[in-house]
Amino acid sequence: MSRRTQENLIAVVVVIVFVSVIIASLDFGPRARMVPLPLAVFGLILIVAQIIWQNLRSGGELKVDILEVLTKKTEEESIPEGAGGASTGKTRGSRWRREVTAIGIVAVFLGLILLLGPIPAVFLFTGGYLLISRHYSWFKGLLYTAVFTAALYLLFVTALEIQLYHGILEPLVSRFR
Amino acid sequence: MLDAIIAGLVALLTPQAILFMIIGVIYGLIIGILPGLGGIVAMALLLPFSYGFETAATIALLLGAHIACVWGDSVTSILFNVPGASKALPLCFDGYPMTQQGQATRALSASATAALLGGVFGAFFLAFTVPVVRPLMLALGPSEYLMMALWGVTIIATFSEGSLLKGMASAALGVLVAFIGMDIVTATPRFTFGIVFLLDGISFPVAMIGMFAVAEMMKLYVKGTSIVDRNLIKERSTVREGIKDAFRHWGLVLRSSLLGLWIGVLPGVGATVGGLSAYAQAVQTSKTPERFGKGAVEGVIAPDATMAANEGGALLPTLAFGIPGGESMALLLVAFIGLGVVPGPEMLTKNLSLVFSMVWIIVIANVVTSLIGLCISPTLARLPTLHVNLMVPMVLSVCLVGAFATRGRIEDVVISIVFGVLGYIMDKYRYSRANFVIGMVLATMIERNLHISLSLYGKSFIFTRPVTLVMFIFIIVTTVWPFIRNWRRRREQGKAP
Repeated sequence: MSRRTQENLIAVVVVIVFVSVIIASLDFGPRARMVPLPLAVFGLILIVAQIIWQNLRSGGELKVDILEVLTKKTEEESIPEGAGGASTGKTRGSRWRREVTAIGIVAVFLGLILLLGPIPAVFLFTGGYLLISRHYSWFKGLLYTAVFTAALYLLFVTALEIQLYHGILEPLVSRFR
Repeated sequence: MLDAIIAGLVALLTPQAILFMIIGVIYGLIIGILPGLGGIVAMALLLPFSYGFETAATIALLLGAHIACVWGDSVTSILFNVPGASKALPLCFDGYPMTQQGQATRALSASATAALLGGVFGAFFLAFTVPVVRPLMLALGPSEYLMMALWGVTIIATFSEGSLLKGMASAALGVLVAFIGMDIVTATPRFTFGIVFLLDGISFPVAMIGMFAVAEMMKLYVKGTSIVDRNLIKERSTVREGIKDAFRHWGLVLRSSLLGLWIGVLPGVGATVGGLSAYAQAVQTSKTPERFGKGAVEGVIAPDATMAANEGGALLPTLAFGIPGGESMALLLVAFIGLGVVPGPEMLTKNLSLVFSMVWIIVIANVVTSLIGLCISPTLARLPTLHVNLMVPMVLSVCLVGAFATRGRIEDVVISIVFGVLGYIMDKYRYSRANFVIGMVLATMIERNLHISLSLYGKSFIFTRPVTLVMFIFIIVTTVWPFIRNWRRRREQGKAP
């Protein structure tokens, strides 16, 4: 997928958000919609202008927008991307894979927290991550995980006395107790 | 008055007060460094232990912890692009780029020194401006507060991260996200989709943990290397450079401190607005505004000086009127009442020595925090070099547990992940995350004060309130001026042979 298509897709999602806000705001009373409604309209105008502008520019100039041109304000890409076809298809493919994996990692961690609660999830996630990445030997990885989880437990549960969530599986675990 | 100044200092020279101050500062630094937890949590957790000791010692413990949190919050912003608390957000703009350029030690020590100078300025101005500030404070109303919030918004126009058009759209999105939940004016549930959890709104620290911490860890994983690869970028800076930077920009420190003190004095404005406004004025008054957002040390100095001075300012309404300048000050107020100290105008007459004890606590706690900060800066600067495989699971773990600890609700962990993915996408496609967060911070303040101003002063309140009008003109001038200056500079460069 070209950079322009990606940019357009994201901009369309933002347009949908603003339109949804406008529709939802119409149900509120005049005072409750006094700020959100005009703001969403303003946001919609901005993003539509951005879509028009980015489709009038060449691929290499996609990082420039209309106000940047007016103010001569430019900034380099925060994440270098194949804006002008600089990156090869292979590196782009591997980047996509890593991005999907990154989202997968946080999703797995979230799943573990929801199922088991924060502290057991931290132990499993950190231990699993260190073992799978093979950056450390299994013994070192396990040791770091144990020390880190214990430190986190001492800090949040013992010192700060925060009542932790016990996870969806907690009733199941208590049945076997 | 001199007697009160001396008596205030003497009360702090007991072993108990000194010990409590040191404990408070170390504890505050640890809490400050943890994402999502800030001065409010630090004080709330100390409150049960604050009774049965000397009054000055107890206040030293509470205030010491609160003040140390300010610098603690800055540390993670500078090193990992993860704000320790909402008010430390502006430190990410230039602190993190400095870390990436191998100047973490310089950034941390400049931040610690600026916090020290700001804190001391704030304390002294507090001591000597008590009689002047009181009538000024009472003269300001909601329309002026609205203008202050709008001044914070102008940072969007001058901020250099990402493209401006997308940046403004991001800010609009941020404002709209802040409106999720029960409307404070009309009690209408807005954008909650029938979800009860959303009635309380999106917690700001949680959104920030997601937007910055989770997104940064995702970025780091995709990049596959540590934040700073010492094979490519050597740590070139020293503590001395950072200290020199803070003293070299003494004018900026002074301006930022005064701004922080003033914002602190106004109840309900808060250090987050202060930090953003300080950053805005640093950009607007700089001769080279184009350096901001890319690792300008002034971008670190200004917010830190403001946040430190803010603590002194916030004490004034708390002590003089019993009106807390912020949430932390509300907790301090509870502690005062527990200690038998009744805040009010009498604090500035009968209990003046206690007021000066607090001024001294601010000064001493800032000195202790900064000394510790300067000592540990070189060690802290090595943290971003940790391998990505160690950094990602550990930082993610601390952040998600921190997100849960913010309100003790598991839904907040889900929210932080959602904002993490959103933050990653925004960063990739250059929709400024900073502007989104700025919009979120200022939204409630803008909406509330707009409603109150319209009700109290009518539709043309900007023109009927002279102070509001002056502030409005000031905002326009300070926003437009950098663009005019850049345009003139470019024209001159174009004329040059």
